[in-house]
Amino acid sequence: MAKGEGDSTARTDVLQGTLDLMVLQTLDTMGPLHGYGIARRIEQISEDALKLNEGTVYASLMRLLQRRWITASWGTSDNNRKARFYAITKAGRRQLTTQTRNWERIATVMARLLRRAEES
Amino acid sequence: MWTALLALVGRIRYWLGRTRMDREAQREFDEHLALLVDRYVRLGMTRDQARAAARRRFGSPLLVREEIYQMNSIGWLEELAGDARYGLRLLVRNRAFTIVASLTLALGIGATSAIFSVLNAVVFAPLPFRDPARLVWIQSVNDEGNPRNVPPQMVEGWRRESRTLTDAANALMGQVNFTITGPEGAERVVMEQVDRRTLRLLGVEPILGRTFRDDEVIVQGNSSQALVISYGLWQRLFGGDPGVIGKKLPGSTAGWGDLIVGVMPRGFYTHPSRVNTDAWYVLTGNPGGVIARLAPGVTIDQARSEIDTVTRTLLAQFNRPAPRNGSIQIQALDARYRADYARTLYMLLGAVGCVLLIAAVNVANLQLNRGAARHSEIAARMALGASRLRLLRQLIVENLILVLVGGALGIVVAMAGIRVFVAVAPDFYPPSDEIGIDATVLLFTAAVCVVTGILSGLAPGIRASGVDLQSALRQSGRSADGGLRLRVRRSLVVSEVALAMVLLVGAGLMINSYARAMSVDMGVQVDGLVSTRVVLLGMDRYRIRKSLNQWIATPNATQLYSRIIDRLSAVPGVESVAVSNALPPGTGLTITFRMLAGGAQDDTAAELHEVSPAFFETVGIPLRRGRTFADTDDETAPGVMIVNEAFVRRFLRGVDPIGQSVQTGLAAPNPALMPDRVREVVGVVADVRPDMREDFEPVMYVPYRQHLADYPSNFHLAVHTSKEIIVRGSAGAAALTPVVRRIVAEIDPGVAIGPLMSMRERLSLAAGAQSFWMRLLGIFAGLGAFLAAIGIYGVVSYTVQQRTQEFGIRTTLGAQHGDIMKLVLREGAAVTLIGLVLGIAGAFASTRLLQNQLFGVSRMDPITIGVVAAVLLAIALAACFIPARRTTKLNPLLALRAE
Repeated sequence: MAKGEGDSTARTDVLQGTLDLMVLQTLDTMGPLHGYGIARRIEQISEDALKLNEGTVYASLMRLLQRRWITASWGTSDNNRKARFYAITKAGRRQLTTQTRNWERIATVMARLLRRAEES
Repeated sequence: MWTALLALVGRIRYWLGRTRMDREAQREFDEHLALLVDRYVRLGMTRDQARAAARRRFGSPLLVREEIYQMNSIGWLEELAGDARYGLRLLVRNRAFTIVASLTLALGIGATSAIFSVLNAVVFAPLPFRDPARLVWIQSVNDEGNPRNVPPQMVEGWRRESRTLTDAANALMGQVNFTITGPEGAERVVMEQVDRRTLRLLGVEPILGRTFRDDEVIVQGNSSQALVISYGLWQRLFGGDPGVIGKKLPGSTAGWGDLIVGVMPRGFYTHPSRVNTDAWYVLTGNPGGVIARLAPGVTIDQARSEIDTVTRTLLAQFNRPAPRNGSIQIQALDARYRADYARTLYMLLGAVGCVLLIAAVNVANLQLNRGAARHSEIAARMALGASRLRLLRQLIVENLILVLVGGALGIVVAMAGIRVFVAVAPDFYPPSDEIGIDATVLLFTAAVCVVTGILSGLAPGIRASGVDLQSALRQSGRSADGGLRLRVRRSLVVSEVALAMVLLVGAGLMINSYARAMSVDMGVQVDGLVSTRVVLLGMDRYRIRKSLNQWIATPNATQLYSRIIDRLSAVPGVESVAVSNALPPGTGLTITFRMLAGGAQDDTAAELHEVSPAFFETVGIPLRRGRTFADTDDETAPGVMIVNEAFVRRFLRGVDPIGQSVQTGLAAPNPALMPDRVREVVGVVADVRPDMREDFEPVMYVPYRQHLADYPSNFHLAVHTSKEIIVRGSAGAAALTPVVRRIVAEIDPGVAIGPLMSMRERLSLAAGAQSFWMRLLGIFAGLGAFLAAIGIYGVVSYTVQQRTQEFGIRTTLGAQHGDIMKLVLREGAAVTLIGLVLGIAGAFASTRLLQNQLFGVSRMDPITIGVVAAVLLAIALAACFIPARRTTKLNPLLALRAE
């Protein structure tokens, strides 16, 4: 998998499953987007806290396509270029709900665990 | 799990278009990069700086593309496809191997599938009744296990009193042939007797009208007026006329039921062997077997214990003592109806499984042969890094392809096989048009293919993947490995020979049984004897109603017979003509009689055969004492009778039979019955066997012109109104059939005549089970022996090839060609003999299953086994001989150099 080049100070590597979840969430809130748009949105939300090779977004999109959680179709972008637009499907939304719930549960547990570790 | 599956499906979907997808991804990435560059330019970078930054930001497009491409591949499946392509190429290249192997497999798989499809159609398919799982068969048996009649009031009682049964009825009563007048002239109709409740109990709805009711109008004392006809008869006689209900059967079966009340659906039967029934009528008070329907949720065991109790209560009600011995048995109807042929078919499946095993072993052997040639190829692949598992997989895939080709051909073989089976199967098999290749059979065939493919590929695969690199790469095909390989091959051939031996012993026993059954002295002169049956039963011209439920014959019948005899006797090629109600194989009806003098027993019965004077001469039954009948023995002459030797032995021991007085037709259930005239015994004839397996029975012969005035039942009326026309002469059955038909039609166009049949054919039909087994096992054994011979040939050829150098040395050292040939033949003989010994042991274990089908031979008949072993040994040596001869053409110099 692609590795970051250089400055690895503050940014965190993105876990594969996490990226998929972020892409799904983005498509759910923003509606159909092309890959560039998705990358911009994630960048904007994470406020540069995440180190993301934007190419990996496409790998994530392929994974989601294979599972039929999103669909893809060719269209024209704002500046009149041909681009592939991705949209979340019904199954994708269901998946998003379950994944979000899972994530929150894990996050809570992790937070609790790490706080304990800090305290002791 | 689901997600994983979904992902796999998605993978396959995208895999199909992944080259196009890759191009698109490339374009998408370019756009993305262009947008990033634009963005960085807007942020104030130079174009070059922006491009570099965009690259950094995006990461390597090549890596992502590679990742996506991998994501869309289905690793193992693609490798498999690669294996398959490679395998296919090899198979095409080795055409001879492929043809031999796939034909071998096609024979094995095809034969197995054919037998399975029969099993599938007649054993696995549910009986065509409503809710067949709840139907049971009930019978009362004595301590010897022989069934006893269950009186109708008992069946009625069970139905009334039992809570575990919802219904019960008598079943499997008789079938009677009638002649009626159809639109195309005289027609034979098979009528089957049923209980009032039988059809309703089976739960099959008529397609028109109704089935029988409890208050069916009874005529003739015990049969219904109403008639339910089969789909076949409805089409044949009425052209499928929907207005058939309420019509009468044309011609007349009056007294046996003639008013059509219903039409059953196509293919309906009460028992698989009764598919020939044309119409059903009710017969009351005639005990047969009993079928019953269990209440929902009731098990057979529950029903059994309840029926025992109910039976005891009922016997007390009927004021009858409980039988001192025996018991009541209940079993599933399915098992009862199908036990016989299910057993047969499973045994046949076993036999054909042996053939398949031999075929698989053969292919394994061929693979080993080829494995030797591929030795260095495999070694090279391993040296290049292929794992053993990978190689094994490659070999198994190759084999599976081979087996699938064999399987596809096997389906063709199976279709032919089914036709052969239907052609040789005796009539007790249910309708054959149900037998075919359906989804279940295809599934079975596919499963057989896969298992065969893995099995026949495994041994060679393991051997090949276990190649010792060092020695193999040294380019010498004859490594230490050769010895081990040969051992494997020899044991494979031994198992082939053993399996073939088991099959051959089975076939040999059946051929022996058949020959013995056919050579039993029936007491008749078989050659030159042909016959056909004329049935006047039910034709008004030949009967008069004597009382409400009793019919007697008119003189017309006697006249018809005598005119047929006269006309036929004048036909060229006919030596003599006779009529009789019974002709072996087969029995007549028994009738009670008593001796008037000599104080013989009252309550005795013997078979009654009503014959024309030339009967004994025509059939070839020698006269032992007194005289035979003459045309003058008619109504006006004194009553006469001829008895056979068995009759004398049983009833007239120590008395002079000639001159004894006998009277029949007594103590019959019918009180209105008029006893027969007093007859004087005028002759004694030799015995005739009613069946090959049965002993001689006492028979009373009476002249047809002096027939009984009354018969104890309407059924017995057949003694006079249903006759076999028997012809001796040089004219064959085929030539005589139209002649007899023409003559009979000229006398009475209302009488139907079936084709004539030779006595030999009749006997062969009676030995139907033996001939069926003989033919099928013969086919399987022939296949097995043939395949085993190929196996032996293969292994001996291989040995010869392996030992070329050794033979070369031997020759140079002075060995003669003959010596070397002997060496090779000895090798083949050794392998075969071990196989034979194992096969005899196997036969000892398995022929037990054939026991019931054997006739006159023990299942370990030494002569049969000896002959079969000799035949197999001869085949094996012939197979060895071909490669062995090759050694004689050996050039020692070349052989020594052979590498």
